[in-house]
Amino acid sequence: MPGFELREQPKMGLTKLFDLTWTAIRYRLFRALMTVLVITVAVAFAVNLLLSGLNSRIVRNNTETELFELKTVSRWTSRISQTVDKDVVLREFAKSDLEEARAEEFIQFGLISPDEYPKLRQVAQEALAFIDFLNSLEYKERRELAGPVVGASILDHLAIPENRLKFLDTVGKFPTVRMEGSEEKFAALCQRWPETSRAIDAIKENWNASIARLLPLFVRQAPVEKLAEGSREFLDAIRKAGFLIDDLEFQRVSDLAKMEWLGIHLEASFAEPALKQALSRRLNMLPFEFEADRVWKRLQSASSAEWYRARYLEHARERMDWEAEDLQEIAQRRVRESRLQAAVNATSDAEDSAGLFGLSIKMSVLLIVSLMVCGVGITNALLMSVTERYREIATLKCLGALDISILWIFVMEASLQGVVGGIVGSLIGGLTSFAMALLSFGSIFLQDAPLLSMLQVFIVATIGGAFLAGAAAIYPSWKAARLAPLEAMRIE
Amino acid sequence: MGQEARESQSLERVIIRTVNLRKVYTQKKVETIALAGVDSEIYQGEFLSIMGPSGSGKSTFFNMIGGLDSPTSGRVMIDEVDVAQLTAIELAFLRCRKIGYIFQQYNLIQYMTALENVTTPMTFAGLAPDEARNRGMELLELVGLGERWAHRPIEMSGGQQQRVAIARSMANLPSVLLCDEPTANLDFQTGQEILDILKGLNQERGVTIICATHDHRMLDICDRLIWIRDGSIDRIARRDEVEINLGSVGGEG
Repeated sequence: MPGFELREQPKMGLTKLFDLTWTAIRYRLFRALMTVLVITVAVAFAVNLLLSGLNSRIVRNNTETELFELKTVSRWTSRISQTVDKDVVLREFAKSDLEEARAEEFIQFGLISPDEYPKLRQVAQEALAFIDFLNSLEYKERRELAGPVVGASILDHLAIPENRLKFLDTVGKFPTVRMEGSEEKFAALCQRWPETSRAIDAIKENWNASIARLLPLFVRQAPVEKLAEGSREFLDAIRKAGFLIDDLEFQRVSDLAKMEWLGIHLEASFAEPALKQALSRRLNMLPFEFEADRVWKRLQSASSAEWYRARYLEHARERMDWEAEDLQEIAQRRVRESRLQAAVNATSDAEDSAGLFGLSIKMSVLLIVSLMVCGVGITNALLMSVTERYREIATLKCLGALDISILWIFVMEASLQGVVGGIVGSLIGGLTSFAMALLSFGSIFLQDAPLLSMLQVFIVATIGGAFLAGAAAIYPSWKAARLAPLEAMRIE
Repeated sequence: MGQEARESQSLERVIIRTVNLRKVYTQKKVETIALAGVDSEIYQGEFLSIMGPSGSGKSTFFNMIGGLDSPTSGRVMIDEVDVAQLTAIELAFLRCRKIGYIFQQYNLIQYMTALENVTTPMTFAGLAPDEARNRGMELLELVGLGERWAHRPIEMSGGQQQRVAIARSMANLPSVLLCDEPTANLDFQTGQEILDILKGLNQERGVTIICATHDHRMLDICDRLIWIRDGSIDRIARRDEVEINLGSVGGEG
């Protein structure tokens, strides 16, 4: 005759469990805060790394496009007046997919068929990457690997099979040199190189020939000045020489060149003694720290531009016709250009995005290691908080708590700490990375700050923090919950 | 109810029975026999004392019949149900409804008030909060702490804490109360109060009370005594037989 009926123990509601958890946390507030602190630091570090990478990539992308526009004139002048060598052609050819007209021009210069063009450009890009890789080595290593040759000739040298084998042999000897990509890829590059090399040579020949045809025009006037004039004859001459340019593009370049030419003239005028003196006094600079960049920076305001116009009309030896607004605009363009250039230089490491989440490999390793360290820290903190409560767990079990209820109490406690740590940590990490980007890029960063991505990272970090902390608590609390009550009491 | 009538009644019904109960602890390949085959019967409604020197297996036996520890071999039957056969959930049910525990160290939950400590087992049993609160206050008044329901364990004396622990053990009106040296940490006067409360529960509510103890005052109030020595039952005696031999018991202790 069974004395009692065994029914299933009613499961406790989550609200009641939450009550229990909350009372427990409040009682041990200091310990809970320490755990939160560990989680906060971990999350802040990870969020900061992620967002910094994101910010500098966005800044780089935007500045590069804008800088390309700002440099239109200098691109055109050097294109039609500066004799090129093979390395320059290789570099330009590899990047020729940015402008359609340029691609066509190269196809004409190099006498390549349009079908083959993308293939050749691909080879050129790989070759360029390889040359950059060699250039990044120390001189001694490079010398031993590729001999005394530099630039594009390295590949000419390596296209001979014996040299290539010797190269691969030597690479193995240097423990510090690590080649990216496989040997097969390298072999393929070397094999396809001669064809590309011939195309590049043809481009070089024809390009230089075209420039030679234009050179007589530049004897009296600089190319910028010629462009600034924007005469019909000059356009025809450029076209006849073999460069591709349509009327609209010529008009645009010509307008920009006018500003550029005026800028060059004005910058020269800064150095005239009378004007230099006036500027030094006005801008509170000593003569020996006189720099064109600083002058441009100060001339951005309307009043300063107006003031300089008056001095210019008074003192300048050679005069051009211009308005104060022109000066202001040129000054703004100049300042903008140097800022963008600085930003591009500062974000050069953002190019490398081979690692996690578009970070560089170095940063990814840093991220993983730091997350592991913090993971161990969090697990340890939670392990401690479970271990010191064995007696309490045993008591709760004696009072009839289910194993699963005890598990829930601890997982919930850890998750709560994770949520708080995640929120605070992602706020700190986000703010610091925002401040860092603002300090190094200033207004360039502000105009297109990735607010949406930041919000995403916040949400992911908060949920992730809670989830990971909860997961870290599962093992120790499950172990504690499974113990027979008496064993649990004896451990303490 | 007369003494004899009560005994004859309780003899009718066995609430806990152990059959050839063995427990062997193995630590670093050294086997220690804590219980070497114990057969015993505990009757409903009696006040039982388990006595014995330290290391006699007394605590092991006590924990085993409370379902706090599992035997190496043999069986513990509570209300004719084999404890070893129960699942974790059924064991939780058993601890929640059938058995109340009182410890030497009180084992109150530090961050809860007296009332919360008493109502926690009721919550585990699925009682509604209002009902739990009312019953909790009743129990606290029964042990004389109705005024101090909002105090935390840290704000109470040892005797008061033990009284809260008794109230908590009675939360789901269990039929068995297991007390592990309930008076060992208390002074003479306070220990006497605790014993009075236990005796009261036994007589007025008919709760079966099993005490592991060194306290000789227990001899005055218990119905039956079990002496354990070297892992087996040395002697079982009714109280009236013991009083005659009190001298020798003191000599033994």
